[in-house]
Amino acid sequence: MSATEVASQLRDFTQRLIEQTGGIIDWPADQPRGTALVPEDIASSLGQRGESFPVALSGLDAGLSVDLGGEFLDAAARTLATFVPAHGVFALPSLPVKKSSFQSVVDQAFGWQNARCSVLQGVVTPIVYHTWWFHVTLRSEDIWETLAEVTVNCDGRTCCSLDGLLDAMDLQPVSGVARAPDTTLEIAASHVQQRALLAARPFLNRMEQRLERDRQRLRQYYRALSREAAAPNRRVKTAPCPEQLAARQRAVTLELQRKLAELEERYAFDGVVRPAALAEFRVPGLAIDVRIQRKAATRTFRLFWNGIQKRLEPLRCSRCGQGAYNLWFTNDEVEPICIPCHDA
Amino acid sequence: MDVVQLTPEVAAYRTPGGIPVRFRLEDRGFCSSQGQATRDQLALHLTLGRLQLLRGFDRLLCLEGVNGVEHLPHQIETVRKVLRRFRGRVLLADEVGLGKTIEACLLLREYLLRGLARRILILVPNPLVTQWRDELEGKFGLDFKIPPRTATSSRPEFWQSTDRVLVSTSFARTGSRPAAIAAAPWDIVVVDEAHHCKNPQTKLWQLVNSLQRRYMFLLTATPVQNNLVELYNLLTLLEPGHLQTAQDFKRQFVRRGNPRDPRNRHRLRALLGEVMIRNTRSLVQIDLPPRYAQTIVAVPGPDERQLHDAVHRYLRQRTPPDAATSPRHCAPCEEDAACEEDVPRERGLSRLQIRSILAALGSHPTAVADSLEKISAADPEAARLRQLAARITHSAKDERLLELLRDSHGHRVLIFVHSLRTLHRVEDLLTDAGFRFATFSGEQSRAEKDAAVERFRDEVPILLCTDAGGEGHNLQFADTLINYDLPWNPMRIEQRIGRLHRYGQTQDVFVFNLCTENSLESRILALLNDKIRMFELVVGEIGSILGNLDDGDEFESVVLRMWMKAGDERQLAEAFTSLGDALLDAQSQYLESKELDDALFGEDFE
Ligand SMILES: [Zn+2]
Repeated sequence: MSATEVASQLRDFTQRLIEQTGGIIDWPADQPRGTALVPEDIASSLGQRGESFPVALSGLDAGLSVDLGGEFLDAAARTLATFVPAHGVFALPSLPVKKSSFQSVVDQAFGWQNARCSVLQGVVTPIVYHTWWFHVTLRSEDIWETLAEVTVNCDGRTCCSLDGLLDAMDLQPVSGVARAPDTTLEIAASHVQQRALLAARPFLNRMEQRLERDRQRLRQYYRALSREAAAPNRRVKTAPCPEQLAARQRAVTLELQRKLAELEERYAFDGVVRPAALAEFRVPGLAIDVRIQRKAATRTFRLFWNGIQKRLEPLRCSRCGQGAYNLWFTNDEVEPICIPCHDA
Repeated sequence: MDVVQLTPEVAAYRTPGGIPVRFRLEDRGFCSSQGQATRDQLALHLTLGRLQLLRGFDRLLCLEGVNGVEHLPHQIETVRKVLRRFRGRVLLADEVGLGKTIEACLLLREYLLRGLARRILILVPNPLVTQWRDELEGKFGLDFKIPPRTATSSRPEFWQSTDRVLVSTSFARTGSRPAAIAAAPWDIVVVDEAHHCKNPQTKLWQLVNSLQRRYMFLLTATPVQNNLVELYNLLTLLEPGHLQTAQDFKRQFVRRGNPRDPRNRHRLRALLGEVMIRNTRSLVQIDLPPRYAQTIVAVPGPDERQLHDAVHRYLRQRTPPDAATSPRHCAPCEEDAACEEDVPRERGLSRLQIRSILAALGSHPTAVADSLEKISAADPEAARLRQLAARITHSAKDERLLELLRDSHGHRVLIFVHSLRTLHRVEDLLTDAGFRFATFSGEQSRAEKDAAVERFRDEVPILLCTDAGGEGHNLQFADTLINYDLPWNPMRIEQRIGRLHRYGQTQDVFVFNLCTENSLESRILALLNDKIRMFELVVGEIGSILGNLDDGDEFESVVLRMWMKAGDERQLAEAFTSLGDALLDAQSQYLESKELDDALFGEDFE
């Protein structure tokens, strides 16, 4: 991204930030600096003394200096967290939902392995989703970060690949009670961690290689030191006494261990998952109740068919929590397990 | 229910290679939120998230939001290299004057902004502590805590709980402090004048070696003082094993009897290139025009001489008898109140008071009157002196200054003064004499300062500055510097000169130092000028010389102590002679190692 693109994004963001927090901003596109007028608490959250202050991309003595390197993004984050809600509820109203033979739809979508499935009923109903956006950071000797989006079916408690709902054309705000965020936060966070580990693979590899190189270097160095400690001193012509030798060797070994432990500590990945926003979506769909039978045990599950992807969503594996279409069941209970969990 | 309970507050994984990955979930109050956000509000949060990611893009953050520091291309390149190639462990061995300190400060800022570092420890020789603090705070907005000279600093808790510490090496390595410092984990450790860590038997080397740190920057212009093994010892602090064991290293690279000519030079150079950066003047093509300095001694009239003698007599009477002999170093410390030498005793003056009156005497009689103001209320003798000083409106230096200015016709002249009081005096003087000038002082707003520099560039031939003068502005179009008075600390003198004699200067630079005959300043000038020829040194060299006085105090403390200890002018002269000898030693030590390093690393060391 070029410097001008960054500058225009920063400028655009600043304008929206001021406006969304109840202020007004006058910053014509062709002007290097502008002026903002905001409520007092917003001004102080942005680190400004008065309600009115200049804004510019650079070269300000006093006022809001809009850049990537200074305090600006931290002040903006603080202000957004305090004054701008990050959790909204929306509905997608107009999706055609067809009713047809549920049994064949279910049988086409799922492989039940060692169990039998029969459809009890299907009803047209809005399905509720939570889309979470997380800022994910992995810190080791270097840093890796991303902004990730995860959508969880609130009732099915599975993650599904329903991204980009916020951009849907006919999205409508919904007033009223939202589902509690903590019903899906952990599922989403756990999912995003695993996705981050996959996406950061090249970064993790690079750190692993570095660590290995550093370990090797230390080991060789201390091995050589310890060899030197054992060798007789050519000048003195007398071999060191065994106790001295052992003490010297011990010291070298201890030092190596200390340095290696330090190295491990330095390279250990410290991951942080921080929610950036949450949207609840109500999407027209079908809820299909099925009964699963396995030997003497039976249990009912609710399956979801959403009008956007026009297909059934997976069930949640009782071991790993991942969604799965091919399921085994435990011996005594009707607990769905995905194939990898079953094989393991 | 078919739910697996996960505990993502702290979830632990391992990479295929076995490095642990721990995840923390920072909830930030989401779980109590109500869900009333609009689409635009959510989009705003997401834009912020994307902008935060841009920090990680291929750009240096340290350059943004820093006002008033010029960054030379080689400094920026160095920051990039350290970040990418050197992974934060490097020996910065630039030749003197190329801005190692600035490179280190830029690096600190970059690491802080990227969230790669929080806890930073900076170790520097005592004489350079103030300089570092000014640089960090003034130019980079980084505040560092200097440990108090009290028992607090021996407790591990102090080091654990303070995230940014600037400490002198001599203070850090004594008493039980090394263990306390080593017990705390650091993200970055910076060691300035790191050649003092050349010997593993010393406490300093052992202290640095024992520190738990992620990144380390070692700074020195002269990594090798006597022989190559010193370089080995330095680099082993940085990356143990990189140069294998000392025996291996000697076997491969050291040629007996000739430290200048290592064996396997190419291989050594390649190895060093992985842990060391040395920018040289010729490499970065900074060649400054010559600089000429002249001392102008003003002979005081009877009034001024009388004032001078009376003030000295008065201060000697008021110097507490044990103040000068106190063995304790008076280095910069934050808790001045804890420094008992600075507390005035009965009928005596504190060190700070004595120092400020002496400095005023070296500046202008008006400044003396000013500095005596508070004391006069309780001390009739001080009140009498104050009257005497206030009567003298013209100093002998005034006439010499006007002469100089008349002779400098056609040049752009920067005049430096120590205090605001003197600044206003000189303003009157110049106005009365009909000179056109602009004024630049620490009390002005940024806009006023900008305007002053602009006037100086476009309209008037003279800029009158206090010490803070001109930082952050290009003044290289000027070619003449007049020190109306003289800071006692050579580092400050060098800062003044550095305003003009720097990258971008194309003309010869002239420095004039004004002083009054037989004053303390005239002695300091003689010392710096005649002994170590300071005014001919490259900018930066004086720091290397003072840095070699590792155990020494800040220069002004040394001068003050000498004055307080000396009973009369003869004793004072002797003290200055021995200080001069110490400086000469420090200088030849520096020059010898510089020569050796030039021979070793050549001009083309990458
Ligand atoms: Zn599973």
